Parts: sequence; C-alpha cells; structure tokens
Amino acid sequence: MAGRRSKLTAVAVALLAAAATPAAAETPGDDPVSRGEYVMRAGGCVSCHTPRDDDAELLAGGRALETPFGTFYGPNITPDPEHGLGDWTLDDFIAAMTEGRAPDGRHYYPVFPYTSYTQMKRQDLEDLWAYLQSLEPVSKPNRSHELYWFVRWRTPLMGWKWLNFEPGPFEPDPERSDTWNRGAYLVNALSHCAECHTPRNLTGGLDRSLWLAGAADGPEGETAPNITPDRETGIGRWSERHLTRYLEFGMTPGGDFAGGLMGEFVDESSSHLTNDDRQAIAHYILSLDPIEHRVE
Amino acid sequence: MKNKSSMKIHFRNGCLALVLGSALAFPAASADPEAIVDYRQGVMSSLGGNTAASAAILMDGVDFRENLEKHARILAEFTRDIPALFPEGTDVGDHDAREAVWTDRETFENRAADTQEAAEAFYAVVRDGGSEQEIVAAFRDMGQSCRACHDDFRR
Repeated sequence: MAGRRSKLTAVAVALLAAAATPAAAETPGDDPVSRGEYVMRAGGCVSCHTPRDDDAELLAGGRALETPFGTFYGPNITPDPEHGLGDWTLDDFIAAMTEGRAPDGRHYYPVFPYTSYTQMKRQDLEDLWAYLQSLEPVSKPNRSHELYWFVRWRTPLMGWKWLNFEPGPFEPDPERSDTWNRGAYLVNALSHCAECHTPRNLTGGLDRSLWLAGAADGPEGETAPNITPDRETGIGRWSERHLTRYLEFGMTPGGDFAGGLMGEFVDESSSHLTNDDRQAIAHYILSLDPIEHRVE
Repeated sequence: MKNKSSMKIHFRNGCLALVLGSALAFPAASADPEAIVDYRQGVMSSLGGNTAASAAILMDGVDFRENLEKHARILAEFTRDIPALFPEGTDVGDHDAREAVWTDRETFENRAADTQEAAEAFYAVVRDGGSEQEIVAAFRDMGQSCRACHDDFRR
C-alpha cells in the first residue's frame, strides 16, 4: 500500500511539474539557442522586456517599471536593427550585461540589473545572445523613460558605479557543494533576486548589510519580503521542499499564492527551470545567515 | 376588555420581538467594516489552509487521503463568497487587497468567478472519483486561478 502511494505521489509530482512548465524551456538542451532560452528564463528577462498585455510580443519592450526614481520602460531586445539589438555585436552585448555600458558608451541605469548579471558565466552570455538573435525581429520603437529631474543626466552614473557596482564573474566557493554553488549563481547572478529583495541606500545602491532581507519600496511599488531564513521576519520556517514548490507552483506552505511581480516571476521564470535548479536555489537561500528585518 | 388587554399584550410582545429581532439582525447587516475585513481574512486563511492540506495529500502523499473530498468541498463552498467578502467601504484597516478590487470590479468579479469555477471543478473530480491525473490537473488549475487573481488584486 505504501509502495502504491509512493508511486501515485511520484506520478502526481511528475504530472504537476509537466503541467506547470512549458516543455520548451524545461531542460537546457544541447544547442546554444535552447540553452540561451533557458538562461533567458532564469534571468527573468520577460518581466522587464515584455508588457503584461496578453497580445504583447515577447521581449519587444515597452514594459513600465515604476521606481522611486521615476518610470523606466524596458527596451526592445529582439534583433530589430532599428529599435532592437540587430546592429549589436556579441561584445556589445557582453559589455552591456557585465559592465552596464551601451555600445555608444553611455552608462545604463541600474534598473537594468547588470550589477547582478556581471557575475554571469561567459558561456551563458553567449547562449543568451544566440537565443536573442534567433528571435523574430519586432519593429517596435522604444519608449523614453519618465524620470525625476535629478536622475535624467546619465554622467553621474559613473560615480554611482564607483560607489555601488562590483564588476566580475561569479566565484564558486570550493568549500561548498555543487548544489550550493549552483544555487548561489542562480540567486545572485542570473535571477538577480537581491535587486528586488534587498533594500537600497540613498543613492539607489543595494544595502549589502541587509542582503535579501526585504525591501519596502520594491519595483512597481510592491513590498519585497525578507527571504533570509529568519524565523520571525523571513522564511526560516520554510523547508527546502516548501521553497522548491513555491518556485514551481507559486504556493506558500500556508496555501497562499504569489501574485504581482513574484507571481509573474514564477510564471515566466522559476516554473520554467529544472527541479534541480529550483532545489539549488532553495538550498542556497536557506543556507544564508538569518537577518531579522521586518518589512511592512 | 379581556380581548382588548390581550391584544395589547400581543401588540407589546410583537413590538418587543421586532425590536429584539432587529437588534439581532442589525450587527450582521451593517457590521463594522473592519469586522468584515476580519471575516474575509478568516475565510481566505481557511482557503489557504485547505489548499495547503490538499497539496500535502496530493503532492507529498500524507496519510489523510480520505479527507481530500472535505478540503475540496470547503474550497468550492467558500470561493462562492469571494466577491461578497469585498463590499464597498471595506478598503479599511490592515489588509492586502489592492484598490483595484473596488475600482475595477468587473475584472475582479470575473477572476473570482474563474476561481470559484476551478474550485468547483476540483471538488467535482475528487467527489466523483476522478483519476489521479485529473485530480492533480484540476488542483493545478485552481492554483493558477488563485494566482491570476492575486496578480492584480492583492498586494
């Protein structure tokens, strides 16, 4: 009886996983384009580069992201030569992702999370580039950001970078397991969890003393909860199983469901990952030092 | 005289009953909006609890399979009330509902109806002895409808 129950459960879990995740990006695959699609999903690109309208074209830009500095609009990153990345080279792309620098030398606003993407592996960047280049070009003009006067001038961003940006690739910790290091890479580089879940200082840089401890004024005016394993103010009562399931299905241990930006992250990103990657994320996050930080 | 006196007594008792009846009915009809918020949070917690319990049975195989129908029935019954749990004037106190619940009522009610339909479908497939695959699929659909509503209507 117990054996039959285990089999039924295994079937149920497999079915649930299959039902919740589109097959196209479930496994990284062997060719650069399908690997790049997986990187795109893990990197959460859809949430900033695709509006939430049902008829919006994938990655063609126009998504509004409200921040304390004004409203940013995600650009078109399809290979359209006029409005997208059609005229870019791989080196241009890598400089944008890892240095926050446009092909014409302008500095990007940190709402584009190059502060996290700087840690991406070269292979992942090349695969992501291959995927983006494989998309149908969409001739959709970009929309100008609507920012407060004090952040419209980009030159001070050089100083901002000096204060707040640490370029360089992810360095695995040889003392830790492969699962832990994979989770650290996914959390800190690709999925850039800290960009929403860490409070920012006055200059808009991440407050490293409260890494992943929650932010009251997250993007789109949402509160991003404390995801360190603090039992009172974070997710210290969650198990790896809870967190893995949450990333797949959007359901908390209490049966509540994610909505807003996190619900979108589950839909567009974490539900597309392999279960091993979701487990790695859960394993890493729950290994962090708990930080007591109540976010209201 | 007797009849007149008796009529007076009946009239007085009738008035008393009416007053008492009104007094008893009154709190429910025009409760403090914060009390309505308390009630809906209780119902929502119940929905969450029964969803979590169903997930533990379906996905982790805990030994309470015989309770799944009860959990599914409660989900079906309480999701029927969702729009009524958010009447005008209850955007008060400490709650997680977005303003859109009241300003975009039509969309909100449509999403709530989707959830109710999904919960009914989940209950039906459990009650009627559907296959494991059908039950899990229905549970997943219900979860997605919850998330779709939370996307726009809950902070």
